[in-house]
Amino acid sequence: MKLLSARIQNFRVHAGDEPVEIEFDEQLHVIHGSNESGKSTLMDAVHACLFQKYNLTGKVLDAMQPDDGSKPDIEVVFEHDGFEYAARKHFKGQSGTCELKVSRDGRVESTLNGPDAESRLNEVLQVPAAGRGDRKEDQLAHWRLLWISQGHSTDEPTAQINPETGQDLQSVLNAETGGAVVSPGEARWIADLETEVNDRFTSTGKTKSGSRVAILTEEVVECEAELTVVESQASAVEKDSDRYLANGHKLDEIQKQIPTLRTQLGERLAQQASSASLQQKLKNTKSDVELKRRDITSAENCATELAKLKQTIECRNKQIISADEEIAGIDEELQDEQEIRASRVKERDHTDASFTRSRRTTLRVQAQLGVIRARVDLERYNESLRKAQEQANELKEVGKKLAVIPVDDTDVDMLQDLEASLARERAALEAASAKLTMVAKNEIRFVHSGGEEQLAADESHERQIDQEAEIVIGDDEARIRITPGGEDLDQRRERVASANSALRDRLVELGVESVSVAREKLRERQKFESKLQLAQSRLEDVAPDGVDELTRQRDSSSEELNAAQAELERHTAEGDPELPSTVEDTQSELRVKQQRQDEAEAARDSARQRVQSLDEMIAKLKADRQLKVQERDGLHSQNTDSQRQIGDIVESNGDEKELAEKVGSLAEELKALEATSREIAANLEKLQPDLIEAEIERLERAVKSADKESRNIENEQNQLIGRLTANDAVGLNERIGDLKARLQSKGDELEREGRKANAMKLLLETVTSCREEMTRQIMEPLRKKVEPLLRVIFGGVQLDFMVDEKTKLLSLRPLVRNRVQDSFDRLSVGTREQVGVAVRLALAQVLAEEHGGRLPVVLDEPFVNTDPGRLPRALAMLNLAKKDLQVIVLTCDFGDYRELGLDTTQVTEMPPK
Amino acid sequence: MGQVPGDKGALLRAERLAAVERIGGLATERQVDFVIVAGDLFDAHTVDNEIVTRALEVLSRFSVPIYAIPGNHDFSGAPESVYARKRFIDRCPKQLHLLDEKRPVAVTGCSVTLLPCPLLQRHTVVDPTRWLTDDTARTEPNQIRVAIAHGSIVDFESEEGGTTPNLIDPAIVDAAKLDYLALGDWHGTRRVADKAWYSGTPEPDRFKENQSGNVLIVEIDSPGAIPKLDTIRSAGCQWFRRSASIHDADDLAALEQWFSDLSEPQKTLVRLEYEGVLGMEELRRFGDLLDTQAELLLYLRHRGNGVQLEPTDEELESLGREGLTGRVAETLRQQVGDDSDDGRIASLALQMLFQCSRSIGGE
Repeated sequence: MKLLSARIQNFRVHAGDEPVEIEFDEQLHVIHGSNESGKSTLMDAVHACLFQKYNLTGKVLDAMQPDDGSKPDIEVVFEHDGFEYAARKHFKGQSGTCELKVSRDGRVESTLNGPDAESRLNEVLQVPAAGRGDRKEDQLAHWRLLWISQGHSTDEPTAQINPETGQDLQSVLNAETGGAVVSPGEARWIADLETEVNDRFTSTGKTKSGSRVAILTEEVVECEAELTVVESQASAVEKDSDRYLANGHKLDEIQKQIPTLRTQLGERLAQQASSASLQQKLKNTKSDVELKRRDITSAENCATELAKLKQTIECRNKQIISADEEIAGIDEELQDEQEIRASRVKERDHTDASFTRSRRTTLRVQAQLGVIRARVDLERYNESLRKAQEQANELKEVGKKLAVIPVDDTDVDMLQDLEASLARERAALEAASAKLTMVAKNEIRFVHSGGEEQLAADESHERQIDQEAEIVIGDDEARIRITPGGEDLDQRRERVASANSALRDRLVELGVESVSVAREKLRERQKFESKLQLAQSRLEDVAPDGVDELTRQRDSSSEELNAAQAELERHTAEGDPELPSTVEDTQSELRVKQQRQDEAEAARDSARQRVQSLDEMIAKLKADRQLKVQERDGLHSQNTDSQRQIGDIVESNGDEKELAEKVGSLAEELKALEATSREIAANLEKLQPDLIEAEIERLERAVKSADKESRNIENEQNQLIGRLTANDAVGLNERIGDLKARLQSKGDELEREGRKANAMKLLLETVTSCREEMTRQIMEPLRKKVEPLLRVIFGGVQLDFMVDEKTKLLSLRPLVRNRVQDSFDRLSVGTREQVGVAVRLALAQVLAEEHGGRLPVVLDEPFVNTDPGRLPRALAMLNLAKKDLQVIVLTCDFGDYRELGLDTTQVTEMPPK
Repeated sequence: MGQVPGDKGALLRAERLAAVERIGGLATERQVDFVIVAGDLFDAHTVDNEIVTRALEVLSRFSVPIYAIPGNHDFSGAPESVYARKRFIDRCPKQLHLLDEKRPVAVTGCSVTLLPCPLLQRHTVVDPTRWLTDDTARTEPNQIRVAIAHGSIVDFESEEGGTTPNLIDPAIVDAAKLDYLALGDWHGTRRVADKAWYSGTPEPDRFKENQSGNVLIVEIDSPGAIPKLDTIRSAGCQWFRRSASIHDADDLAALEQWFSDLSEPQKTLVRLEYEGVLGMEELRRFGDLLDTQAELLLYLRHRGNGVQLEPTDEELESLGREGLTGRVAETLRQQVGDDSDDGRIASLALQMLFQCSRSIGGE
């Protein structure tokens, strides 16, 4: 559908004889003009012609009329689906008129009037009949979205298409977009279903407390619990009953067993008594047997002991004879050895004497050697001592000379320092004083402070003037007064005098006339010191440890000589040959003598060894003999004891013959006793006393146990009877029956209710998922259309259409610059305006596909909140939308719009009123 | 009777007493010499005193003697035995003779000697009829020997209702030269031999198809003669167990017919096990049928995998294939048919969806 033209007369500001006429561009038409020029009024008139009832009355009609009260007369021509429709409405209250001409290809096909015309018009425009009064906003279906009056472009477009606020519009949308999300009827039963499900389940899907299923579950659980209790009571009764009957059988059995057990026990006790008697008899017999055996053994032992003692004595006698023979042998051997020893002793004594002699000779030669060496040492010490005495005397002399020289190195150094100091002070005084040089051309006399002097011709005189002085030349022929200009002359002079005085004082102190004399004295001193050193050196050579030490050594040597001589005398005997007098000869003689001594010593030691060996042999033989004698004497003593024992045994038990007779007699008695014992044992074995005892024990236990068990069972039976005959169990049978029936009934109901609740839940879940899926499908075309438009403005914005779970309203959730906005309302006013226009244009594009491919969209000042920077892109969006739509823009800023790129050829300028 | 709760359960209990009453009437009508109860006069030792009192009151109106032995449910050897209860002793009518000893008992007024084989305990491994060949079981030659026993026949073991203990060897009939062996324990009427029969319980109490609910009238002319038996229906209620496979309208109609053919719905108990697939409309009818019968019958229990919904194309079309309801229906339909709890829930959800849709359409 598209608007072609309009003619408006007497509609609000458009009053007067001349109607306002306008032909619309099929793509983008701009109506511009200043405020109050009638732009919006013009399009309001078109809107009224298309949608308002031609015969309306009241305030709405009053608002349409101009001030002069004339009646609005409006004609709108539009094209739809190949037909051209010219609708003209003359609003005159009840007498208003409506005419609709329908043409095709320029030829009028029909003309309708009044209600028919309006009905057809509504049909073509797909709006419901207006009903009573004027047409309301919510009866405008999709036109609400396409006809945006001034100030409403910021409204959220989807708020106008939710089912609650625009059901008719929703149905249009349903038809246009391929199906309803939720029809009103569906919405009702879905709401009822939600209530039912919410009554049964919590938000997390669990069974709700208080719901029928929950109540039934509780009842079933209670019923089961009660049944369990009652059944357990019945079961307890049954168990008690079974126990009672089983106990009865058991008791019968036990009471039958007890007499039998008692009889068996009596028999076994009798057998046990008989067995005990036999056992005592057997014990006595065995005791007798044992005694007999012991007697036999005793007699046999005595006989054996006698034989053994006699044999021992015999054996010892042989040993005694043998010992005596061995002693005699040892005695012979001892005698031989003692003879050999006497010979060896003689040899030993001889070698001892030879060695002693040789030893003395050697010692004498050694003493002689000591004497000679001591003499040499003494002479050497005496010579050294003499030399030392000489050097000591020399030292004493030089010392005396040194002692009288008063100057040493230090003194001379000090004098030199004082002399140098004086020289420095003098030089300083000289430098500060005036220098007077006089050269005499002729001989001349002059007087100065120091006295009178005379100069020969050409002789010169120089002197230093260090204080004011006057020189009288000749006989006062001239007086020269000299005043030296140097500074501190007085002080300098004092320092010179002081230095000179110090030098003099030191010289006097040292007793020398001058420094040079002092140096001479020092040289003399140094010469004597050299001599002293030389003498000391020589003395140290001869007496390194001092003269006293040397003297002590000489005295010691003298004592050694005396000692050596005494030693020599000690080893010298009368008649001894002369000894050599030199060291070498004596040493040679000593070597010979020592060799001889060694030989004599070896011979002596050998002889001593042999004697010692013989002594040891003889001692051993003596010891052996002593042992043998002791052994023999011991054997004699033992034999005496054994003889005494034999005597004792024979006296007590008889001799060997008597003992053999006694053993024979006892053996006979033993045999008889053993036969008796075997007989008793055989009888006893037949009785099996161990088994009898075990059997008695067993039977006693069995009787005791049976009695006890019998009592226990009887007690238990009494208790069971008490329990079983109590009235607790009466009626349990019926109670169990009732409970089972109730449980079955409740269980069945619970199963049905549970299934029903789950079915409701499943149905609601399925409805929800289908509804979401359908919403997505329905909104998909809109999403596809809106995206290119938004891209023009924002470059990449996306929109998401949500169905709010609580309100069931559609809502718009834009993604602006990749940032999710909570809702449309939170966008800035400018952005809201642009997004709102984009969505309306997109919706119009979707609807246009079912309206001949084109629908008009009226935008009255759509971008008043858009900032200038974004305005060109908003206008570019209109340029894009006009390809599919007829866009009619009302604005007072057309100049700006055109400059900013609005692409339009059809412009209507409204002159100012 | 544990399967039926509430008032209907009470009605059932009353029917049992009514059955006993009918037996008393029959005994008078057919002029029998005596009535035998072959064990389990009472269900348990724990029965309520009210049951004991009412039962004894009904028996007290019998015109002939009643000879009863203790069975495995009311064995007499225990201290808590119902027969030892003061209420029983105080109220026991003179007509009722409890035979709890293994010794011959001569029936007054006829040449019959009863040989009771009572159970003194719940289970016994010894054949309770074994004593019948002992000397103590000897009777006069002119006496008709009628033994009364309670237990299972050896070859019943593998069958439903049989219990391993208390086994009875049917050869005892010949071995003990019995003229008749009256057997109890088996709930259905059953012939063991010409001279050995289970009469079965006079009023059924469970959904088991075992010919229960009868009383036997036994006529024996003389010792050694073959007994003549007459099976008389004593039950007041009828118990049915029915399985149904329902896949179309015909199956549904057949089931409806079966229910409508029931003679006394107020005294009928039905256990229905069903499975199948139905369209929405038929499923609604099926639901209505169950609801109606549950109200009509004494007791209706329906179990099984259920009948699932398989909507027809027309039914699906009616929901609007493109709309939300249509889509939901299609989604659920794909889950139906799965023979699992999830599948059944999906089927139910689909039924609910149809109901919702109908409620919209009905506006």
